[in-house]
Amino acid sequence: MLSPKVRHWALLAAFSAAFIVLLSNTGWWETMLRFLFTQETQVIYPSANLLVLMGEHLRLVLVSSAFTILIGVPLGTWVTRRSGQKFLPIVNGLTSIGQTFPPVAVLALAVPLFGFGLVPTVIALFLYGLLPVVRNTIAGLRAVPGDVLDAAYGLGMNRWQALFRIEIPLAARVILAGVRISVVINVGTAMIGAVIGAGGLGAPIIAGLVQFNTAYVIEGALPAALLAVLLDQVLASIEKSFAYSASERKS
Amino acid sequence: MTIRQRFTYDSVAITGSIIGLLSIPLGWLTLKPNRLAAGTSLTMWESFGAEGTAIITALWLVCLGLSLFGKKRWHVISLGIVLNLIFIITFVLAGANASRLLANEASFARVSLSAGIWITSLGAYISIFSCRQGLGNSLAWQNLISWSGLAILAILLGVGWLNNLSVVTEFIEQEARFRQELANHVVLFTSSVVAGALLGIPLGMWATRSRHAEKPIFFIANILQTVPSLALFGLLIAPLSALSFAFPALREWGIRGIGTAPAIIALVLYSLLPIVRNTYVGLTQLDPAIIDAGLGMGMNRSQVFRRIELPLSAPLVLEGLRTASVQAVGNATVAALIGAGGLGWFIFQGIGQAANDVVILGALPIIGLALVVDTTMRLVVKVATPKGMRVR
Amino acid sequence: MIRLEHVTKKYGDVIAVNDFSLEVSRGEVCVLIGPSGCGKTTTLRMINRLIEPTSGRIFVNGDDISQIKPERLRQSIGYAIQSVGLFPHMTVAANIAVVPELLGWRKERIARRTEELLRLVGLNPKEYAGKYVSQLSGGEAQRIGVARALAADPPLLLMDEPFGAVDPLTRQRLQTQFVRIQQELKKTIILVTHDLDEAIRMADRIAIMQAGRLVQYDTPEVILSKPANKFVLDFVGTDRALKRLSRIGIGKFVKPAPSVKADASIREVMLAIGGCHSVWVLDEDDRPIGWIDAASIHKEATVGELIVRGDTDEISVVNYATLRDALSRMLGLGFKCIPVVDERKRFIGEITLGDVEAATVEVEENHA
Repeated sequence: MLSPKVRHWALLAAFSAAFIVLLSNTGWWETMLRFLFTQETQVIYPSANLLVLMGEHLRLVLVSSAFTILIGVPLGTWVTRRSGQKFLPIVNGLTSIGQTFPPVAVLALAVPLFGFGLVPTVIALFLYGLLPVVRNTIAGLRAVPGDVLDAAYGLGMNRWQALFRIEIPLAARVILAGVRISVVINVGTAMIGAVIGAGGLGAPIIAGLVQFNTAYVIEGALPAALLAVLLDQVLASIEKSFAYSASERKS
Repeated sequence: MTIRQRFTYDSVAITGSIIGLLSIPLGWLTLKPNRLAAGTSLTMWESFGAEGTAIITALWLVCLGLSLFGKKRWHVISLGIVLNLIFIITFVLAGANASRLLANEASFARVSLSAGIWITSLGAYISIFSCRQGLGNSLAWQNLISWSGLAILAILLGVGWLNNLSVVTEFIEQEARFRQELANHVVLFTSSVVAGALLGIPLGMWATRSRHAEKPIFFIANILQTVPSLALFGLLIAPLSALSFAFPALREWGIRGIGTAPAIIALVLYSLLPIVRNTYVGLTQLDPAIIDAGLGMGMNRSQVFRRIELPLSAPLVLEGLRTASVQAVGNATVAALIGAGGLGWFIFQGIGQAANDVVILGALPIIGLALVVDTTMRLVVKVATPKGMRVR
Repeated sequence: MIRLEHVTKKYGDVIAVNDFSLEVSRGEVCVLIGPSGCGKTTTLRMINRLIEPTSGRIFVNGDDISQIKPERLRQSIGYAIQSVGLFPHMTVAANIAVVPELLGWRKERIARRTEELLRLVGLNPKEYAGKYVSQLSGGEAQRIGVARALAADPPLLLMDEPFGAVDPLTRQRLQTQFVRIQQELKKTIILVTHDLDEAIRMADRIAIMQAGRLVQYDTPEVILSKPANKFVLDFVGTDRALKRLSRIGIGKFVKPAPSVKADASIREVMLAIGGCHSVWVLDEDDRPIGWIDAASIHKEATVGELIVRGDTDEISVVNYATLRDALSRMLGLGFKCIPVVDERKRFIGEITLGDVEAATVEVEENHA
């Protein structure tokens, strides 16, 4: 029989496939929503179909997350090196304060600066997503045991080799956890991005709230919820496969 | 001696000073014919006049100099004082010049803060942060340098000096509504955290007692956390409105499809995970030997709970409450979209009307509220941590 | 091969190492020892430039190490530390392969070397090569740390309390094993420890440090018999004769002794005993598993009942152990004689308390 790991991944793949099939089948949605909301005349959000909306949403999240990782991980790494040491306290300070900011507020503040649409949304998602990634990069790298690093240098690795062969592999899991948090939060914030015209799965919900059409709301809310949960599970599985720290490896 | 040895520098303060200097060529105030128009950006010279520009530029240069040369105590203290001066003078000048600029305009005209002021504040924040580090051992100076600028800003606001800045103008115009939405916001997040605690702490305790309960409880709490807030609000609207149709009595109570009911329910569900998880960890991280010792000394189960388990797990549980509270402040913002009110109302109003000042009127107080809640809860956690366990 | 010339290390106003000069010849084991904070670890870490000296020079093979790139220097010096610092995300084989990979060895050469090294430290390559750090015991981890240090076959080895993190029994075994490995490999070794017994057991010469200074640098015999000053005298303690026993191998004191297999009959047992007090009992692989007391034998007894059982590792001592090991074992067990075994734990003979006494007298006479 298949090992639990393979089974787990197969299950995830099956759910993802089912999810996509579900989203593309507008007819099915129509039937279900009509059944639930007999009094509405229009049940399907007219401006775009679900697959397109999900595509927009994913694009927002993935683009901003890509930038977050590209900038956040090197930033977190630099701040734990000798050259960036002096900036560690302020980066820590900014990330902790930043985390108390509601993500919506960051999105809202992007509007006066950058206007409406995709650009401010991506910028806000990127900025807010930086926080957990930077924090976790710092925490993961600092958690590398001192004697392991000492052994690495003692054996003759230079700083780059030690960073890439020892420190980052050992910190990978924690860093990935930060990415996961960032992505999940971004899925939520991106929904509000619909208010400032960024599209995505928030659009039907907003339209539904404005027009008092509950069917639209569900049409947006359900896929969004499923998308978030699915992404979270996929990233969590990837994270688990990085069980490098000694305490997690089972004989 | 190399240059390095000659200057004992503070890189962070230098960065802040450079940011401050870079803010000078930017626009500092924006003059708009009405609250919706884009307006013209005014340079520092146009906004503050020659003297104002000279003073602030000079002060930033002094900061740069002090950051390059100083590691001695009096260097750091003077740097901190100068930074606070920059901050205060900026806002004093902003308030005064806003009045000047508006004197010749129609009553719809508005003056708002522009990039220059924000960037200067950022630079000041970064450098003040580094001053705090340098004054680590003197609490008095630390606090003075960190808070005096903000304190004076608060005073300026209070005496109405800044009334001609657009954000404040909006506030004055909508003051009644602001108070009401602030109250709504506070009610939303406090009631949901309290309800979350009443529900979550027992759930967490149950999870520690029963292996069977543990898995589903955490599974559900985790899934709930992952669901985006707007989606959760949305998902609750349908069943709640169906319920309120079926049972009109609920509508008397104010429970409708949209409004406060779905918002509070969703907020309660969101606060579950941090509270349940921290209660669970708080209780399970206790060394069983300690409980054993207590029982061995002759305490009965409830005494062990009251005198050992409770005080030792309290800090963690309160940390969970802190996380939940800060989160709730943020999530309550979105509740405005479904008609529950709260400070988010201003944000979405502003976005809808393309009135940036209204957006800021909503966003800044929410951030402030989140910070206040966070700091207060941190204090609560500190107070609740038994003396012997406080990290030095 | 290694020469330290007036090496000093200051941290602000604190002098950690003060005008330290030392020379270690090729193939020699030099142990740096002293009380906590005496600067021994600092000195060690200056040799591979993990710490840079404030003043003074260090030469390895005639080359001033400050002129060599630190990474290249360290790749040519083995380094083993107390907490081992094995990389938890790599297998044992990958850990050992680190320096050879940095040096660009080919895969087959690395694989062969890994196998060779695991055998050298007494671990089965097939079993251990694929294991991860969390699956190892303390003693196994330390041995792999040593194997990793030896991987690229460096002529010089630096070790900082390499056997410190295990229990005393395992530590003794590791030390004995290491002495044997050194006899085979003849590396130049500088070892830091705070354990005098370890120093005496393993060193060709001991360097005693106090507050950053070198106090005495000589062979263990000389240090034990002619301590340079009061500090050294107090440091080595008063039972110096006993300590010297750890410099003497039991090899020449081992005598043949009667033994029987566990499945022997009473007649065979009585034959083997002859006139002795007792006979050692061996299992099918010739490993001592207990003894039979002559006095307890009577006609109706079965051999099984008569055997007083004991764990092979606990009651026996290996043939390259020192007199000190043998003495501790005897005292610990309360025996007057114990079986001696070879590397594969097969019975060779026995050694008695009397032999130890004789050796002590001999040592005193030679070094009085």
